[in-house]
Amino acid sequence: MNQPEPVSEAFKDLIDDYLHGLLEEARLQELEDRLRGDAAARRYFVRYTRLHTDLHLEVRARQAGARALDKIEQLLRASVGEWECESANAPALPRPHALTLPRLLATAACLLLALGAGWWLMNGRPAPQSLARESAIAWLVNAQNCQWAAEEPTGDMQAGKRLQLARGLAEIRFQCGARVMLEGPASLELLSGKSARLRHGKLTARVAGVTGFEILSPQGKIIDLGTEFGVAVASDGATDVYVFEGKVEAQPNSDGVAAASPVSVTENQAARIAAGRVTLRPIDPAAGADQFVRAIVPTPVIVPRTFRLTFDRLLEGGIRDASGAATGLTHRLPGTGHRLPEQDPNLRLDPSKGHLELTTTNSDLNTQYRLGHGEYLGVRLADLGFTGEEDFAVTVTLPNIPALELVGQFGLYAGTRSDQNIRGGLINYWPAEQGQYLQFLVNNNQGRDTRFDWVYNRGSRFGLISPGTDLRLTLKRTARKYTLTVEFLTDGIATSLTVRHPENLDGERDLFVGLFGANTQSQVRKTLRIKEFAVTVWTVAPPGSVGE
Amino acid sequence: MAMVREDAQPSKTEFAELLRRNQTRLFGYIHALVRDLNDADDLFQQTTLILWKKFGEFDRQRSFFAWACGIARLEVANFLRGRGRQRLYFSDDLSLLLVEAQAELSNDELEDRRDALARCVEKLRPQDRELVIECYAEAASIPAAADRRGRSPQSVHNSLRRIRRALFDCIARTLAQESRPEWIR
Repeated sequence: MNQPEPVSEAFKDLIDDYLHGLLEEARLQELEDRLRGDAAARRYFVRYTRLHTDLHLEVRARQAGARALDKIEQLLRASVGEWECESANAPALPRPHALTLPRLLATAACLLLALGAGWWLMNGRPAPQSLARESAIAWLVNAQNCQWAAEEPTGDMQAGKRLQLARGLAEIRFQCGARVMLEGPASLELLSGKSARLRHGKLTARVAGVTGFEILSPQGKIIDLGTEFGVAVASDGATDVYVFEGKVEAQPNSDGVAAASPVSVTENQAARIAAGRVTLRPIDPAAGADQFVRAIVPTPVIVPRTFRLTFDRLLEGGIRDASGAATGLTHRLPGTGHRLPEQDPNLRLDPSKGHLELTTTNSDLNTQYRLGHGEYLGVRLADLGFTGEEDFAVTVTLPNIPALELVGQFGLYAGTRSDQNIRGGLINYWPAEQGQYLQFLVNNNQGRDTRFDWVYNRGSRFGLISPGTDLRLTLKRTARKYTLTVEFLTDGIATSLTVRHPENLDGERDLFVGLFGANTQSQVRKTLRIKEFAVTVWTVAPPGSVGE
Repeated sequence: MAMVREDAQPSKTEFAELLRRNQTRLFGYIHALVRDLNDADDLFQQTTLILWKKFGEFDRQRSFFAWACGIARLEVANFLRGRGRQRLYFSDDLSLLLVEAQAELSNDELEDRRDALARCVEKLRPQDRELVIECYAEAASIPAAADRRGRSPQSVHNSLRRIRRALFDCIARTLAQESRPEWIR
């Protein structure tokens, strides 16, 4: 069944170029002719393209696995002892190398379930091979404001690992005890438990009690002799060294004839390695100690600012309901609701019962269907001090949820416009029965739901949600990553979904958040009761400006 | 709030089972035609929804996979027409011919291939593995990967071609070894 077919190299080239979209018309025709005329060629083709599909899926599975492990490690560091896991004996604050795989996995399963993220283990394909670890030579022990240009590193790292930091600070501990503070943008390749190659960018290294830690650069290397030093590699490879304390040896690359002799650089000295030689340099303030970051300092003070509506009194401003009463909600998601009258017939505020009723309309953010009549209402985050980078959360309480028909959906959104946003909540979608719901979260980019960024909670024991349930939904952004949590108010259970981070919302300063309800692909409208709506922005005050 | 149709339960169970048995192949079929993973996923979702809506018309004498591919093919054709670049994709008659070849791939074989792939990826040289992971993580990452390495996109394409072929051969070897009877191993 799997016998390799006798297939020509030229035919294989055609398939490879087809997969990369590189075929021009004549060669596409050639490939088509070949496939049309030969069943064996078609058999080869479907297996080879299957490899292309599987590679995508395999890489995604690996990344999901790596991310989850990373998260677990962070959690273990942050809150050891708060979780009770019968299979992992209440771990003491673990050293990175103390986390053996079976224990990590046992803890992982326990933590993920405890966090309501059990869907990952149940539905995902955790690819055990990718978790089998060679021995680690370095560990990522601290990070601040990091954005990784390539794959995000997991906690422990093997020889050959290349760290591509686009920005932020990452602190790496090497097996020999050296600590390196890498400052983005930078590219560092881990070579062994006591050496690394800085391809470009800056780092500082602190080595206590041992000597011989080495940083290689494109122009040479720096050998530590018990010290703290900084290295900066420019785009042309020229390497600057600055010694804060102790002594290092700077050695240029050999020119192929004779090994270049090392030059000692001592405390408060600077040197440049370039073009096969080391030049001691006078300390220039711009090239001296100040250019290096030596430690991660605590982040600035965070001040939460909250906007809350309980719908139990008449308010002054905001979007008006059918009778003209102000709901307190201030903004619609731009690109929605512009065909609705000033007094919105789909809204009814009832202060005596303390709720706002929202009757759904037939609209869909996916494909931007009938959004003029779409109900996507909330607030503008800038009104709460949001400037682009802050974390925020929006919460809504929905008692006794109604049954919507196929593709009917309600929940929360965040975004700049109807065609740039993320939304999540509950959706009636296969395999849910009519009226039942799946939890979902999806990125919408240029008006379309990007389906690979679409996650459902199905198959887990909390997967299907029935009408009549009392829910609280929260859409939260933390460090640019979004999570949707559904809390079941009757029994106190909560489940969370996260989705691939939507880059299209990064750096947007004018975001809108709110709630929505839509009887998408159906004419049967239903009414949601909204008990409470709250938005919090965690604004950042400069360090020291609060509580001093 | 009981709104479940009386006949919904058995037919949904049957549909779910048929879909479960065919979804891997169906996804592969669509992906081979559109090549982009996100587009494939989008079209797979769309196709599934249509299959479910039209499930009443499905003739039980026929192959579910062939029926599903028929609908997928129409969706793919519409999608490619909408993009106005259908010339770079297969013509419809060839798409139809490929259904049969896809149908021959059993779920067991697909699963074995995927498992073998995971092991073969582990055997790659670290820099090759890194390149594969980088290029397959995102749809449009080949130019970015090339950029980061100071190489041309074409040279990254060439590397990927070499690595893919090595993986393909590795999978074939793995499967051949595993299909040997116990006593030969």
